[in-house]
Amino acid sequence: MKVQDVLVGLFFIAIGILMIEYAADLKPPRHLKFGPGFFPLIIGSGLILVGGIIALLGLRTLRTEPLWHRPEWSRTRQGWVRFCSIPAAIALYVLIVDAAGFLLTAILVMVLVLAVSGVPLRRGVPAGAVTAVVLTAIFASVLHVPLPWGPLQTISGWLLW
Amino acid sequence: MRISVLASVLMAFAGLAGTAQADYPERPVTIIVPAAAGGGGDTTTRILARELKDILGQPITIVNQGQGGGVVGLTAIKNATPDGYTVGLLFPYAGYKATGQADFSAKDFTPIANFNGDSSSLLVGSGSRFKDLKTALEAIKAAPGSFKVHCSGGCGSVWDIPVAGMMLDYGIDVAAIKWVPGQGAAPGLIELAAGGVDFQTASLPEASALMSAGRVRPLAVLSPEPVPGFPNVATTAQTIGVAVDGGTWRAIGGPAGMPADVVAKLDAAVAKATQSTAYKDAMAKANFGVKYLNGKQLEELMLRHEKDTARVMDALGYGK
Amino acid sequence: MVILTDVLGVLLDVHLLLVIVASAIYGLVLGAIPGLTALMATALLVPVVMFMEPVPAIAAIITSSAMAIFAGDIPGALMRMPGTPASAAYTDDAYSLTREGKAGLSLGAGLFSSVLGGLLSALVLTLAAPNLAELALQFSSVEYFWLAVLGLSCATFVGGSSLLKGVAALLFGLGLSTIGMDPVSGTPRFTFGVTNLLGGLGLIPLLIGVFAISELLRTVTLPPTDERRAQAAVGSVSAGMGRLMWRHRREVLRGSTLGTLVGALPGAGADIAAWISYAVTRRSQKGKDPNALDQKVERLVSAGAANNAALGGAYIPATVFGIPGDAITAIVISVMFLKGLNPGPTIFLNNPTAIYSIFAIFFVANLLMIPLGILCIRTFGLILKVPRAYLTPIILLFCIVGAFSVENTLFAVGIIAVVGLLGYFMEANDIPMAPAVLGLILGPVIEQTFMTSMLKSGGEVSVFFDRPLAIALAVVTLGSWALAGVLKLVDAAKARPVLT
Repeated sequence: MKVQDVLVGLFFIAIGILMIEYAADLKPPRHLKFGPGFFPLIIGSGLILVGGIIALLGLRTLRTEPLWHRPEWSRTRQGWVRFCSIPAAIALYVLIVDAAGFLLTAILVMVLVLAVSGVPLRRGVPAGAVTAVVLTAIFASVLHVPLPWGPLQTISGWLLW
Repeated sequence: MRISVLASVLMAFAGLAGTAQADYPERPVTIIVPAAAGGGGDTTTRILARELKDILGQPITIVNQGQGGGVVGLTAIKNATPDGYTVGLLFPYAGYKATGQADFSAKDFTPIANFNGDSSSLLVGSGSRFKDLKTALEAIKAAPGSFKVHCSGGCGSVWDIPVAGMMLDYGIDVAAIKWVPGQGAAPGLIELAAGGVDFQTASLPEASALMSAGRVRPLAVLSPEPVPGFPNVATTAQTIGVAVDGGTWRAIGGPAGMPADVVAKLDAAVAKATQSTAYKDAMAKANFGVKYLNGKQLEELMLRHEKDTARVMDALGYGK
Repeated sequence: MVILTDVLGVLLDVHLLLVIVASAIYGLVLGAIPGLTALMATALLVPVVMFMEPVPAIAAIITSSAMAIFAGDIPGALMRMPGTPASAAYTDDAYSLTREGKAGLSLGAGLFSSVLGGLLSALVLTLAAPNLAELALQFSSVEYFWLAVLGLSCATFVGGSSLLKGVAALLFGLGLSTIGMDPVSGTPRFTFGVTNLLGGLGLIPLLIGVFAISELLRTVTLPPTDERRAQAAVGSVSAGMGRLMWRHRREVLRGSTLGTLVGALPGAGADIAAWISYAVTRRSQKGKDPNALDQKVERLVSAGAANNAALGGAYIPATVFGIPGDAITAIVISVMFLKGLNPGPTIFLNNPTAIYSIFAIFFVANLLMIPLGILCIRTFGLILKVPRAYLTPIILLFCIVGAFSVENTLFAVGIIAVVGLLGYFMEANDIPMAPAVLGLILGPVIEQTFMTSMLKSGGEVSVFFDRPLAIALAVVTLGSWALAGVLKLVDAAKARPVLT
């Protein structure tokens, strides 16, 4: 989504104001002259300044440009589903991996994203299973990344090499 | 065979946390290390884990969570399921309280066993005029505001608190000294060698490379006896006549509420590991001190540590 | 001479050579996969190498990290997803070459400049480590402050089309870097009571989000017919490279020298080395078209040489004074201690065979990079032939595992989603991401060194100018800013008649 430069400028100004607002409550501890609020204050001021200039320059084209420009994909429902499938897959992973284990979750993530891209389940499920098993073997079993085992936990001793 | 696997899978689902387990450990044990890979906490824990693996007969998974100066990892230990399958590395933690980062206390953890201890020391750069602790302390006492002491890590932590405590007992106004925080012992040692600070608090092994290069000099070590590997470094008793025992300790601990039989099993395993030649050799080679304490002694150490830290932090002017 | 034969004896050990080849392949594979980084490759080696013999253990770390830093260029050039923060500086240049159908040139230049940078820094390491380490010991917090500020000015050279948006992105990155405990007093900032935020957002998850996830978001929304990866057919990687390197010898030498020096400064490391080298080369191109082929290759070559040279440079303070230059050498030092091979100036007297064997491994690893690197590029080219629909979720899983394995928290996995969306919208609005990453890397360094210096001086600003080295760095930094300002004015004055 492309927005007009005035809005880009306002976005940076808003972040700058939030930073300064938060930093104002940070008091220097003990005898320090500059406290934890000093850098956020400087950065926030900089953001307001630069955001202001961007917004001002954007005013020149405010009449001729639309406030925002929707990308091509967002005109179809399918485009939205595809776009959202990535953050949704990550969210799904974060939510269920501890309970379901990496193996099962990775299969689900694969199948979900593949299905959204139009790959039929009869191909998506085996592809997901193979990928998940290979990743588990490499990262959990050999490289000892502490990926959750989920239901396999009781036998995970045999699966660590 | 297949049925037993299925049964154990179902049992895992049912969740057997917290109950007594005669066959503990039946699966790999995770040790959370609230420090990055390669640091002192990580190295010592890995040396220990190598022995624990053979003693417990299960793989040990080490999980490094060094974010937030260790707060993230300690919080993970505190919040873990107290079934003995997730334990962690405990180390001096009371300093977080004064800076508002976290508030840990001995009640949050199940102390299992201590396996390492290293003493803090006070170091100067090679260009410093101070040759011994006594003249240095006298000079600081006369004009505390004109000296900069590097804390190695964040101030209010393992190395500077014991030194500040010693200075406090010497009658020095510790709040007037400029305590300089840093990102660890190594960057601090560069500051010291470059002349950016007057003193540094760190352990002797951390400084040994620059000591042998003649760039930094230890004034004294805060240990009742000379430290192995550094027989020529004076103890505080030798220079100011007061024996001080201050520095870091590293222990295995779990979340509060672990079953007693599991704790006993882990304690026994740590005790056995710390007595093994392989462990002692590896620790000596890497210049780490071996110090075993059982769960009860560890709990006393933790309570004493909380009290000492609170006293020194108060004198330093934190929390005001 | 005796040492030389001893070193050769050590190197010709079959076991050691096997370790080197295995870790080379390991480093290349992990570095080349988007979402997996050089730091992750080294961190995952720790449990394995910690209890190996010292020379093979350190050989494994050296080889895998050098390979991973180079291999980070591959997904950067072919998919616009830099494999390491050190590749982020020149990803856009490398990818634009690929889009022009010159993927072979882009990757070949990256490979051979990496090799040369690594070899030159190994030479410096072998000949002058103790002397250069002396230099590193002259740096106090004041000098680091100036160095980091100098690094910040690099942002103006990598900012893309709009300077203003580049500066905004830099400030935004600096702002994100203040999340977590402040580096001096430890006071929590912008954490809103979330324990996981105490450690900040984490550089690696941010990098994965901003580059890899946002790129995935762009590819899934492309119409299925637009196979823009199709043009990534890699031509010959090695053809004409000798001549190319000779033609750009100045840039290679500059990148290697800057890389070795910056790498030797503890805390600076390969990331900053690549940025500075990139910016210096960009500046030397004043008056030429920055988008011309030759100029792109020049920048690529100097930054590519710099990040691999920095890797060698970091071993200077590590072996001479036991001071880690980055997270990777921190692991090396602990392995050396563990083996009783204690770093320090005495190691050159007490254990010359071991230390010079370690240095020699740099030569072996960098030479090995040529055949294995070419092989890796070829294989990666094949992977790109996998249909996009299958590649997307696989890369996504690698990103998830990569973020998790560096931080060991699920929080880090969540970060990549949030930052990925953010990166997508930044890109859509022409806000360049490279300056934001630079701000993230340098923010903590600048704040930490500024606060520490002020703490030491009791609030006197004069502390930044009262040491000879500090004055020199201050003059360079402020001078380059003033010069840039003057040049801008002159340009503007020249340009005005044309505009009206």
